[in-house]
Amino acid sequence: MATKHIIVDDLSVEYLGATKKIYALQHVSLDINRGESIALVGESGCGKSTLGVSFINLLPLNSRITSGTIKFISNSKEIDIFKTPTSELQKLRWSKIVMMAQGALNAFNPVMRIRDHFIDTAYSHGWKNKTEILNKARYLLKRVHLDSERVLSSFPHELSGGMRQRVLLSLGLLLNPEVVILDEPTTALDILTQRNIIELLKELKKEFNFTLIFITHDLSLAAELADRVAVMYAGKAVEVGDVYDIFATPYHPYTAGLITSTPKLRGESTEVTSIPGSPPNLSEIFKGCPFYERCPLRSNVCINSQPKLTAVEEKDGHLVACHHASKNTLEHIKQGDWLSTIQ
Amino acid sequence: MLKKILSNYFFIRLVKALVTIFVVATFTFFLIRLMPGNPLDIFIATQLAQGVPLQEAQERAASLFHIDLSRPMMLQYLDYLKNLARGDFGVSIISTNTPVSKIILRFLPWTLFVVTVSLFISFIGGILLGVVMALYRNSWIDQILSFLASIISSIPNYVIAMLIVVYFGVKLKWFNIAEIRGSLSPGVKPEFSLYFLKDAFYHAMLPIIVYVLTTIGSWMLVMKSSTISTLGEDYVEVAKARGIKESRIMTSYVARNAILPLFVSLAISIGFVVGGSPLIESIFVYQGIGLKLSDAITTRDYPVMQAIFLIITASVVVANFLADLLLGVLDPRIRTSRN
Amino acid sequence: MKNILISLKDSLKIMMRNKVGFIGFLGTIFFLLLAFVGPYLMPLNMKADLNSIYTGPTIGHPLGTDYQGRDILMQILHGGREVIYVALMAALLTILIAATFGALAAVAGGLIDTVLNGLAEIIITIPHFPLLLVLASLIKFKSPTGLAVILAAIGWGGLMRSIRAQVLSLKERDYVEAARVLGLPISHIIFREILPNMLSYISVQFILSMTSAIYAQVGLIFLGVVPMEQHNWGVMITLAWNQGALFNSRAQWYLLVPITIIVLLQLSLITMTRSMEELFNPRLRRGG
Repeated sequence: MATKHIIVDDLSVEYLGATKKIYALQHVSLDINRGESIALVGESGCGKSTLGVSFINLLPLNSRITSGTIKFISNSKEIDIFKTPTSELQKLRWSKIVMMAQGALNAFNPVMRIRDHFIDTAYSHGWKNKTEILNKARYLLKRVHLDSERVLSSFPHELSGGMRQRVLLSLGLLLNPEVVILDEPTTALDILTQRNIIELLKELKKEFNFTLIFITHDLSLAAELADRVAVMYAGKAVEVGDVYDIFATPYHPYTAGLITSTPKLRGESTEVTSIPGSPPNLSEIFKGCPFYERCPLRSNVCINSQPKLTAVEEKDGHLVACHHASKNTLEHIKQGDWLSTIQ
Repeated sequence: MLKKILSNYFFIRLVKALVTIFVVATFTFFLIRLMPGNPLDIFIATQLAQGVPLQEAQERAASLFHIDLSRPMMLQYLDYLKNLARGDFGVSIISTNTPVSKIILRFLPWTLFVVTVSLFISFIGGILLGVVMALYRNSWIDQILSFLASIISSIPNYVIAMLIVVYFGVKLKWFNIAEIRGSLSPGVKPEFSLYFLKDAFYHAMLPIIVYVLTTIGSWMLVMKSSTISTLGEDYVEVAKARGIKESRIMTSYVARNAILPLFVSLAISIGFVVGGSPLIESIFVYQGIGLKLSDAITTRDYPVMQAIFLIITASVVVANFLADLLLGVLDPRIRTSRN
Repeated sequence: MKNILISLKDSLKIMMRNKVGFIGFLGTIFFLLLAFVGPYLMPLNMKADLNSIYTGPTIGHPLGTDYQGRDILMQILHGGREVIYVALMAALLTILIAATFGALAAVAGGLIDTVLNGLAEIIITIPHFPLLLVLASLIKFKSPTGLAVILAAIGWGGLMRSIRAQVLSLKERDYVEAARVLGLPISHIIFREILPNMLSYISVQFILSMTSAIYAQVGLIFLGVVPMEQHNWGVMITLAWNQGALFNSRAQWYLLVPITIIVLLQLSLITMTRSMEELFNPRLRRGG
């Protein structure tokens, strides 16, 4: 039986813009199990990155948490992330929970050698033995297939994008974290490098046995790496479940749309389809279902009543937030001509 | 490999500095020698008018300007360069028999002292205030500082100097305007003592205040915008996620990167401050090279004028070179990319 | 005609959006009027009146009198034309030289680019004011235009390099590429595509060139290398300084007036650049 590692309960976050508020996360609840690998999937602006930084309470200054908690369970102690003082949070960050935000290419201080990034990180967490730190760094760099000596004495700009991503991964593992969160770990990289990074992640996960949360817009990446998938839309989790269940029998029309619009390179047809319309404006609170505007299954119920995330009947641990959820959603979608063809 | 690139960047900077000095030296030679109504001709003409025979007038001119007029122009030019390289700038017309190099040695250090101290204070002060403005941006403290910075940097420095003398000196009598003149009080000799240092700073105080006031504003504004953009960099965000302490992030990650663009303006600022010294030193009657330049110009002491101009330019070139070197040391990227 | 009026009104509206900038704009207009209309308001009478030396502000002399009892207001009204004329001319010539060299270097490339760029680098490095002093003592500046020419001749370096860089980057942009593919003549590319995009930058630089020309001009007058026959604000400052502002507290008023004028003029020009940025920046313009 899986034990819980992180519990997100009823989390709402808003951003205060110059003229209006943006409700980035709206009552999101999600359990993350120890040792699992979970993908947070959604289009840009769906709140997945906001959720990512919430795990370590590193939200931008213009944001506000309006409801909910995140609890992190470590050594059978429950830590309430939002109630932890900054000094404690600083200790927790990177030593227990590693969060690698988007933009690994610029993740390193351009005037510091890679060596000093390792040392700086270790020192900040009270580990002062330089030889030990560098030995661990060398091991980790070798582990991600890099020439450790050369990399350690390099400046960031002397490394390629793929190399920097690897260095960041090994820097992430320096303090043996329990949880690793990756936000779009492969975006700025070319396809070949992406492949290598994915393979590497699998290996590392096996060896270091951390809980992996990764944030992506790319369902195929989720299929490859995740045990479970949480699909997010307009600041809400709309469907959560085992990766096989999500792909085989999506209940939510949005999930089904995402799956069918993922290009299948191996299939006989190479056409790419997409969900018509665009994500809703997040500066207002929805009365009904946020997906209403774009949904092929919508009915009058959806206008005024917001669907709650509830377990489906057929399968344990598969949750969906849709008034018209059913195991036949994918069939419906495929039959209709709802999706617009790009090519 | 890396060493090679490194020396490459520094080597290119060095060549540029030397070429600049060479071009300026050449330019002044031909300006003095070839311009219609050039000082050499005028000098000879005045000597002739005073009844000195042509040959003697030419000899006097030759010894003053260190140019042998009987030789072809190209050779004269080479002689001039040779003399320059030996630090021989000829003799002053006004204070006869005083070698120009002696005048330079006596007055240049004071100007360099004042300029260096001022730039140091305004650079450091501008960085600190700029960071404060960036951290508390849009607060009242930022708005007041931004307002003051933009106002004070648009007022000409000599105007500030005059106002200081008239208001604080004559009107409020905070200092004695006659006593504070010069670079040292009568009887005080340069030596390693607190007494000497105190006196030197007392006399240098006013020019330093003016230079600091007129340059600090732009440092503040540049540092503010540079810090704001650095705060938004990914590596600062990642450093926070790495659990690095706030103070360490502010110094080694934010400030350390945000100062880099300031070194580009440093070169311009050095030129501007040194260039303004004839005005500021005249107003305060500070015995530096700038005052000597304006004296030489009013008295038409061409050898002195030419030499001081060259030496001022050379100092600025050297200062720029040093700023470039420092930037090269501080920013690893520049050593490989900017040449 | 109507169109021009409408666009003028629009321009004013855009300039008013930045309050500080708009005040600077009004200040600049004021000083232009002061300099060019002022001389017609009051005849210049530089005859000494020994009975009214350093009166300070009175009804007869609202801004007081100088060391020879001459009215200061009158001198202010007459003393701006030359200062502002030199500043405008110097700025205009600076822009012309910088734009020509910058565009030439960017378009021609190769040896021309290297030489012009190197020249610019050298001219930037040489401290300008000492260079001006040396030049002024060798070449007698006889006319204000001559002074403006010299100011422009040593002031184009920085601007030329930015224009060169901008032209280089603009050259690569899509719309310029498109114009070239469409076979539009090079003049069209320069005047319709490249120049409008640089207008904001150039207009701001124009103003900044004016401020440095004013700085240098007054400085040169102060050190006595420019003949003081003509009457202007710089001469007033110099005379006030040399005629006893230090020792006679009544004389300080005489110094303070032209100094205030110069400071306010510089402030107006510099703050005006904020509005100019908005006015000429097509992106900001559309945004409203």
